[in-house]
Amino acid sequence: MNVPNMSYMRDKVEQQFKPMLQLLQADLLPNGRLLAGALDLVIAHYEETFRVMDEGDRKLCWYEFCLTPEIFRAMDIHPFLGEVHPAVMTFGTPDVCWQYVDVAEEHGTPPELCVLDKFLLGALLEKQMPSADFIVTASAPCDSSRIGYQMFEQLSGCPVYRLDAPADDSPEAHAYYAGEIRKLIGFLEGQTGKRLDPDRLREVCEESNRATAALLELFELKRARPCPHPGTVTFTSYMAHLNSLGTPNLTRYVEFLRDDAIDAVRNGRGAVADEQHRVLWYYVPVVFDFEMNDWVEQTFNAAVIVDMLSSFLREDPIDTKNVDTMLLGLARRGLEVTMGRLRVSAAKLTERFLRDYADFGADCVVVPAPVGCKHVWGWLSLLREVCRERRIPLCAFDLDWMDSRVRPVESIRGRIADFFETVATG
Amino acid sequence: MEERIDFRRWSGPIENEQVLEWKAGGGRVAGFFCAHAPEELLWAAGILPVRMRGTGSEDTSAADQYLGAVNCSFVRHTLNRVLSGDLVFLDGLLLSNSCDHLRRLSDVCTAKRLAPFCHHIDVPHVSSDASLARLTTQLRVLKERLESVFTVAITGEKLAAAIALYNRTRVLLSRASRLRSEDAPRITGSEVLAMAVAAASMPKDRFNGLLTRRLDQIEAANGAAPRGPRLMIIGGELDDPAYLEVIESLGATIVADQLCWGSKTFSTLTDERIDPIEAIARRMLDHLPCPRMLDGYPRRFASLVEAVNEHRVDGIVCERLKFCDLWGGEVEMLRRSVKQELSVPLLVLERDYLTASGVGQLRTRAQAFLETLE
Repeated sequence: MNVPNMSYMRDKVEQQFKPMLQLLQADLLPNGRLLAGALDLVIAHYEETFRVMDEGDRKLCWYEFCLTPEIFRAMDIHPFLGEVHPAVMTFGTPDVCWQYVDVAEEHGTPPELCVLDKFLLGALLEKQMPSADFIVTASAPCDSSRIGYQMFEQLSGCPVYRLDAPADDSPEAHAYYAGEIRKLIGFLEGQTGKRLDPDRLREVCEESNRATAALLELFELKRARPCPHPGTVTFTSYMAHLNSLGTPNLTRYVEFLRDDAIDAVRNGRGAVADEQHRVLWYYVPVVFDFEMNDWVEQTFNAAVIVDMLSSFLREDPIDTKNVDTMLLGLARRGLEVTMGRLRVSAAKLTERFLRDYADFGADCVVVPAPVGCKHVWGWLSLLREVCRERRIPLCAFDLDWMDSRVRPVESIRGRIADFFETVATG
Repeated sequence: MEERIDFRRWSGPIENEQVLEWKAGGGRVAGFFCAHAPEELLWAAGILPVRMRGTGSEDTSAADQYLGAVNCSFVRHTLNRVLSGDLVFLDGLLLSNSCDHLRRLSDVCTAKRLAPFCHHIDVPHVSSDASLARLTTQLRVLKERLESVFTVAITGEKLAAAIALYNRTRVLLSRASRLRSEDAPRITGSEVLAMAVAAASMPKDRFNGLLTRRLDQIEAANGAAPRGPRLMIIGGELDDPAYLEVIESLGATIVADQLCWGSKTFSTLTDERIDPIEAIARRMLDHLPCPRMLDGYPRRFASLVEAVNEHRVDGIVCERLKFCDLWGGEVEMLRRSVKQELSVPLLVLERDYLTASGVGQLRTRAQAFLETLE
């Protein structure tokens, strides 16, 4: 029997996500009303992925961090951000991660690579990645992704386009990266046989701007005490919007969240009834423990205000005046996509950390540091020093954010519990 | 009879007598970390560039305050030497984003002001006209900073002279490299590595004189009788000739390499016909690429195939440092490519930076591999 690519996700969407969506929509699960829109977007994204794969009426692009999907959407290419896929597949079924990591390691992949790249490699070997027409990758965030995409290229045989992502954050670096995206357009035109229509790109960017404008308002609202939304909603909506930027459905969802937050702030309704602490969750989520944020919030009255990854869209809107300004906006936005943020210097990371800490009125920090992330382990000590100087309570610990075998849920929760006990006693 | 010049003398700790003598004479010294570095620019500024090593480090306790256990042992040992005050003679550190470990090392060095002059270069990860222009601009900025901080003028003549001097080193090292791959090799692979390490650890004019004399000695002698399988060594950071000596002691002949400290440093010349800064940038991007270069695998593998055929290699040994993601992934790709396209066995050795900590395992694995080749 010929099993289609992504058989696991096809089943998961039908058997897990759709029933869950019904429960969320009926508000029968915690935060259901707020989370339903995110899951709806994820389902729609995967269903379109399956359809494009099966019908082949559009090109499908597997792309990496350091890009947002507007450029693909404008060229009628179905965008599939590889790095979100492992988290979605692992959601609710942690053993799935073990399976693909094991496949990759048995294949010879060194265990110390980032779990994302190991997972993607295992999924590729097991035909659980989309059959992409081409891959677009960038040189950030890390060594693991840099070599990972060379490995994916060898295994998949797909055409691959590579963008050089500058490691600094200057106007010159942004202009350089805009040039890289301009060259990418040439590649995409070659692959699709279609020219980029600037008006269509403007339309997509304007739609994307509407979503990010609402998101910026949402971030502003999160500064309120008590914080209007739980951390779970922040993270889940981020997962949903990575693949959906530039679609009206995303805009509607983010505007719904914003309106809900406005109402919550107006009525003094917080995610945590008696907000005692405001947590900056500075790095990765614990994917195999979806209830982690709720547990932190309910157990310690500690609102998880924002995390490092989902705050990437706190940038200016894309200037849609002309193609040049749009590419510059996409460059700035793309370079900030989640892990791509790690490409900059430790000084810059610390500067952003302090900005986020101040902006959101946080009073403590949790840094889950993945064992595969050489960046964070080279920054953490410098961050610790800054936190010590400023008397910022910091809880940092090692884990694998998707592979629960490295540090299980109980151990992570124990570490956090110890931290809050210390914070509470001053 | 002239005494044999042994380059291992300068492949120990970087504070060798050549460096200290330079310093005592009022010269300035700057450390750099990777084969993708603009050495000629430093030399043209009157600064002695020495490539950083952790040789001489015995532990990483000082560095461990700043770097995690998942950061590679080369970076931790080298930082340890800097933090321990062993390298206070350094006037500057030329830092880069060669890999994530070195990127964060750069941050620590800059934040802690571990040398009076710290400068970071963002070396592109693809080779293109745009990346060349960007790197060239960065090197011009570096030139201006060097001129300003050290009150020197880096003239076109000085740059041209520096490039000619460095190219001379590369030509001499290539000459040495060829001698190890003869039917009856007149030099060992470990000695070639010692030469390359020494080249990055002393003034190039002094080195060129010493190497010329040594090559004359070698070329006047007869080669050794052919012995054991002919091996090619590939991999990342390996600056310890003793590592290769262990393999050679088991009866192997190391006839070629693709090491960051080996042929990558000398197989490509800097173009002397074009603008010198652009030429330096061009060489940084276009010499035999490290796995950090996104578009480099086809060229790396083609070069490997060419070397295997040219030097009649019986087996390939790939060494990589634990926690080096770049070489970790490269190894996996190589396994597949070598199996499909080369009928040559491949041995992969994972190691810690300090050779002494893994000699037993190295000997066991290399011995077993050599037995399969005989």
